[in-house]
Amino acid sequence: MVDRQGTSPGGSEQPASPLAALRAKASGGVARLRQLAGQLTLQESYFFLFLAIVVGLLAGLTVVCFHVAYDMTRIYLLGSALAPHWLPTLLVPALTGIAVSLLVIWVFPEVRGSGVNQTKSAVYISDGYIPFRTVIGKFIVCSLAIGGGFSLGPEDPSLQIGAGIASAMGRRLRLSKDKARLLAPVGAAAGLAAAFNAPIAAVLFVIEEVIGTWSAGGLGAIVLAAASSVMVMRVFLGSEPFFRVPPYRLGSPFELFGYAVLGVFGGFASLAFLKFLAYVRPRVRKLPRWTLYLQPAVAGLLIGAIGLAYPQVMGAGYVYIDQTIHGQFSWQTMGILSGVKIAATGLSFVSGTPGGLFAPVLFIGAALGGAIGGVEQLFFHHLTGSVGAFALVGMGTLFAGFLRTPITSVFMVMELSGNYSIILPVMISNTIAYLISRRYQRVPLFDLLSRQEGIELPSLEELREQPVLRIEHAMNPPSFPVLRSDSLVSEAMAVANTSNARTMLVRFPTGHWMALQRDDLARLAGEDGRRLSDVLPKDWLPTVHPDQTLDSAIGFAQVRPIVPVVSRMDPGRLEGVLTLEDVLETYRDASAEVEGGSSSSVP
Amino acid sequence: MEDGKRKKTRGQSVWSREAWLLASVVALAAMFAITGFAVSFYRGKQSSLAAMWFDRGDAALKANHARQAIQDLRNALGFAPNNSTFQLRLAQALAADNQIDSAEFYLFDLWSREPGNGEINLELGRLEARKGRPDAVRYFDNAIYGSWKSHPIERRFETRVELFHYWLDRGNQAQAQAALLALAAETPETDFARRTQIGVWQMQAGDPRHALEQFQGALRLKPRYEAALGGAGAAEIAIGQYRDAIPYLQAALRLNPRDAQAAAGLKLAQLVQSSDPFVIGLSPDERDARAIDAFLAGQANLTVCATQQQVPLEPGPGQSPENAFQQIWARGASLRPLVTHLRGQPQNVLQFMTFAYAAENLVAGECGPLEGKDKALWLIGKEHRLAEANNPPAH
Repeated sequence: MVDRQGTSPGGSEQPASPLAALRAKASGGVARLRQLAGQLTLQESYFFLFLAIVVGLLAGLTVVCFHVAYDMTRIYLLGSALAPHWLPTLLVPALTGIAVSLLVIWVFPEVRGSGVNQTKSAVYISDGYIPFRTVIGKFIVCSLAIGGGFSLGPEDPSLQIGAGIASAMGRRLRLSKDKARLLAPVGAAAGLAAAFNAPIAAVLFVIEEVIGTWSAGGLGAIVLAAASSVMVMRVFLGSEPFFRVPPYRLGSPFELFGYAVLGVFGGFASLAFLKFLAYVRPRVRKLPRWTLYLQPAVAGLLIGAIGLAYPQVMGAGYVYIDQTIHGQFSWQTMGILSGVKIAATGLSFVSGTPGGLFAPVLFIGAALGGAIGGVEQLFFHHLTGSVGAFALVGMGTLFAGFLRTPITSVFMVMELSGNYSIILPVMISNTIAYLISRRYQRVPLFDLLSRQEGIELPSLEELREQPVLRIEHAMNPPSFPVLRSDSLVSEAMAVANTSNARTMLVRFPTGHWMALQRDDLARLAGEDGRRLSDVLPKDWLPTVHPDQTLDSAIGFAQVRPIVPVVSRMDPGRLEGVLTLEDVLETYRDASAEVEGGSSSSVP
Repeated sequence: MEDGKRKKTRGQSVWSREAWLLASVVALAAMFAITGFAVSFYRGKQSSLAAMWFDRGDAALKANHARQAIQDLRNALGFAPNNSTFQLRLAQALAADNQIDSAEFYLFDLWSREPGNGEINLELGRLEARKGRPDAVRYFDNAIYGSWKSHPIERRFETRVELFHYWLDRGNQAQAQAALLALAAETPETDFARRTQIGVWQMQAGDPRHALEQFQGALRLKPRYEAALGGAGAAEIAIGQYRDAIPYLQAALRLNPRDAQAAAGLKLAQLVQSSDPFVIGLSPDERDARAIDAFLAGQANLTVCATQQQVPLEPGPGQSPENAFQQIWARGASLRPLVTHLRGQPQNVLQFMTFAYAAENLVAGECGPLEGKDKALWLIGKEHRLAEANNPPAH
């Protein structure tokens, strides 16, 4: 037996035999090792950050392997030419579809569906639990699907692979529920960052779409994990941006009108894609169970048929995005490509083939942007920027309109291209597309998918856009006298007699406030000549400001009869008062309005 | 005691957790090794495929199959998207297929990364030149002063030549001549072939004096160099030094009797020499004879051309000359009585030659290029600036 100090009982005595001596030495070594391990003990917060780095590195390495796997699968199945021979083009996706359906039905049933939603489900429903089998399944099935020509991307599976690795580590390390719940998004950010080569966009996406809040504790771990996974990815696959963008310069402010037009088209294209998924997917899901074996194969056959004319639609399509940015297609071709890619991606996704939508959305956006840019150049050559710039902005536009992550979309374009001068057109176009999409499709993509699967996950877009109730919505002007602390007791009584209020406020020159009950004042009747500040106990009231959230005032309102609402500029200036009744009434009114269908107005 | 127990429990639990984390680090190391192996295999495969497609594309481009080259080079770029050699070759293939805008995108992208790269600037210069944009000059200049990975002297020479052709195609002879002067300055004295070539270009750019210097420089190094001899002869003719042209052209013809250009040049130079009445050392009779010959030849050619053009040489009765033909013809008619009284009156020789030049000049403008003696007379007139003033000839 070894104690914590690492000394063995009777350690100073001579061993009885060589074997015993050996044992004693061995146990001494183990003890020292344990002592060392004990010294390595990390504080909880540091431990979690260190864990985030390990998760990031592991996720990054796995995503690199995933990248190698799906690309090698493509080379072996479809050949190394960008436009494969017609026979593999037609048959490989269909045959891959059969293999995918068998794997999904018999071996990895949990890989079906969106990785983003599955990660959200893990966070909100199962305390961050994602079976490791899902990681293996996503890796194998998605490699096969993407490499086999399905119009799907590697980002969504990478996100879930990262989350799955993090979840497995969390379980192994017996993390608390809170930490385990937080670790899955940490892994998700790492996976997405490595797949996208875009750490900032990955962090923002996870915050915008998976977590929904800016928690300082979680944010540090997420950033660390994303950074370490991207570092690993860049070590192995190179640090160049995904797309090489020709220099961009805004020649004239009028060019921005061109990007606004792109925003309109992008918004409606996003809408068309969303409506397609919203309409077709539930109907496909209702088909008899035996059709599950055929759905990916049929989708593969149709994609192959499209691929005969437009091989660009097959696979993730990053190469073609690059070509689009470099103006390698006519505007007519780019217009057609955006349409057929929507069809191919829609077919791939509704067939239940696992894979992501990010890369196809970027492709559609680039092609649409290029087409719009090409047309605008045709008619307003002196006003518009290059086709490449439109293609780049188009990527962000579709991302904002389809995935409904407006902040991520802006940063993603900048990171993917390494071009920061394009931010203004991106912001304009993305905002327009986002607003159009939101206006005509109330339920965002990921919420739509989860509801189709019968799961009610919190809608982070709704949460983001929920009106925030503030103290200014609930406060009222004081209906009682406000006394000064330097008033004489007799003066205070005289003022109190002008009102029926049971509670009054006393203002101190230091900016402090006190509540004074009428009965307490009456008890001071014998001290008429003294000042209130001399006779009152210093029991300061908590103060709040009009712009603070109503939630933050509930605690005060529960324990104090009245809470002064004061100006931020001058704590001695009373803006209003708040009571528990005011707070509850405001919440009741807000609930009634939401139930009545009017969620946009603030009470 | 209680506190110690709690610490121990907590310590053991934390130890277990850190142990797992350490194990993860070990797993990380293993994962690094596996990933490294996988990526190395993947990179190898990518490199070999990229090289294969690039070789195919390069061969197709050299065989002028631009479309095929574009396909192959795009395939190559699919495996090595940041390879600037592949991008440059694709841009060249796109330019060869007249996809100028697409080519330009790649080149601008490359240029933004390597603004001092000679080859990229040269390609951009070519594209801009095809588009007729003045930016071409900037890119050509960048290429001339930029860096080249191989054979920088040759590539800069070629670029200057392209710049010269750019100016020449746009009719800007002054800039073309300037480009050639810079080219000549950078050409080694001992490179007679290149000097001769520069001389030929300078002749094209209308700079025969500098061309003559180049040809003479080349001949100092290699006196029996046919191209330089022919070029020097042509340059001498262009300068108007017909007598000096003759030995060069004779030497060129001795080396290559079938050199038609030299033969034509020699014939012209000899004709000019034998027709020029202003040549120093001529006897008065010979000078008069040449002047009369010139006068008659001019009259005859004017008559032929007027007939072709169906223009009457004589104005109607009581009318004054209406057109150039009639005006010149009238001048000739006024000179005709002097044909027998030329001796001792050099001013009359000048008037005869001025008439001959005016007649030949009009014929050249109205009836097409001159030949033989008519051309010689025109050249003599041009040389002595007979159209400008009736000054006595210089020699």
